[in-house]
Amino acid sequence: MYNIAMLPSSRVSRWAASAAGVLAASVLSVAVARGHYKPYAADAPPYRQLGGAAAKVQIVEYSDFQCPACSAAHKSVKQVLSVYGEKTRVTFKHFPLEKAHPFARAAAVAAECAGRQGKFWDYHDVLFERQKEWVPRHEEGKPAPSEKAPAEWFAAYAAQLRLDKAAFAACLADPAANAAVDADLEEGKNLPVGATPTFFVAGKRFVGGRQLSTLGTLWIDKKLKNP
Amino acid sequence: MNDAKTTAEALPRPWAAWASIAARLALGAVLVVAGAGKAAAPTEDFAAVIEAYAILPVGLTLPVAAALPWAELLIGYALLGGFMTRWAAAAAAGLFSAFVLGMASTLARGISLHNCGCWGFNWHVPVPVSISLDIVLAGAAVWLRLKGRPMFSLDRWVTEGS
Repeated sequence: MYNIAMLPSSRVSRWAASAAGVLAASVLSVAVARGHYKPYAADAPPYRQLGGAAAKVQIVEYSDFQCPACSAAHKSVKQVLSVYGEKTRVTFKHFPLEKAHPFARAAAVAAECAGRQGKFWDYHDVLFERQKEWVPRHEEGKPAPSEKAPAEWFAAYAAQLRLDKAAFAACLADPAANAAVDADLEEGKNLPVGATPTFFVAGKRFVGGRQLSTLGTLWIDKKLKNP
Repeated sequence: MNDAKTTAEALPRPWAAWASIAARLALGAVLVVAGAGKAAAPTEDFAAVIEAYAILPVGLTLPVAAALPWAELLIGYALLGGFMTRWAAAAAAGLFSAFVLGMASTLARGISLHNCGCWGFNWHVPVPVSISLDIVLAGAAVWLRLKGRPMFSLDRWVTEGS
């Protein structure tokens, strides 16, 4: 039963009740917006793993080939691998942000198909290093008439890396290649990955190349000293 | 005549009271939606957005990314409920002004922001549009601070008990 006598009677208690209400509403909003995080699996096909087989520090990267920040972070990842060598191992996970980057999934599938022929990392490097070449410059994300379509670039890169042309084409049409991208994407959404590139370095999250090369390397040093 | 004029001046202007409520709801809703989205997301995501502004040193981005969304939320709910309204309005004016300065400085330095981090992670608008919206919101917050009325507010309940 509601009883008016239950309401705070003094000015101070009414102020405290109001402050508590504001705080409770804030906490509740975050709890509702956050939902439930799910654990992630660090596994991926062997061709998407690079570094020491018995590395002390595992780095799991969720990335998008069409994302400029991922292309910039590519240098940071290479630097980490060159500095720490066999002490670290990078596992690549596809996380194409298709709303913003309409060709990211196709690029991920192409890289996946290169991986099946043992050239994932070579293809990965080409996609990031030549991102400005294959991403259409046209405002609406469609290639201008004079531009080559991304699919043509993907085929050209496959040829440059001497991939088997027929096997590459068959793989692009294989639903399993798309399913591999979907599996990573779903896993990333559950973590949640909200921005690319997101790195999990020995379980700790770092977003972007700058965080990886600054705070991330400090974390790697710490984990190498005290695993 | 003089008495009538004095009475008229003393009466609260109804439009100001309703405008106060509208300003509180608009400012509060924007801050709550933006703050909840960012506070619920991993702190590192918002820290990466702050890094893109190239204003704060690396060591400060994570603490700021952790605190700022909660500040937005608390100020937002204070405005929605009309609790410490004048202080909350002043804080909101300060936040929106800081956002305007931050974004304007990126434009001046030729930094291209893919995500200004203004409205949470699900609504991205171009930086010039965000600056315009923030100027309007800062103006509304300043007006609420200076001219706001406490109708339908917790402040009224706290002071009058009704």
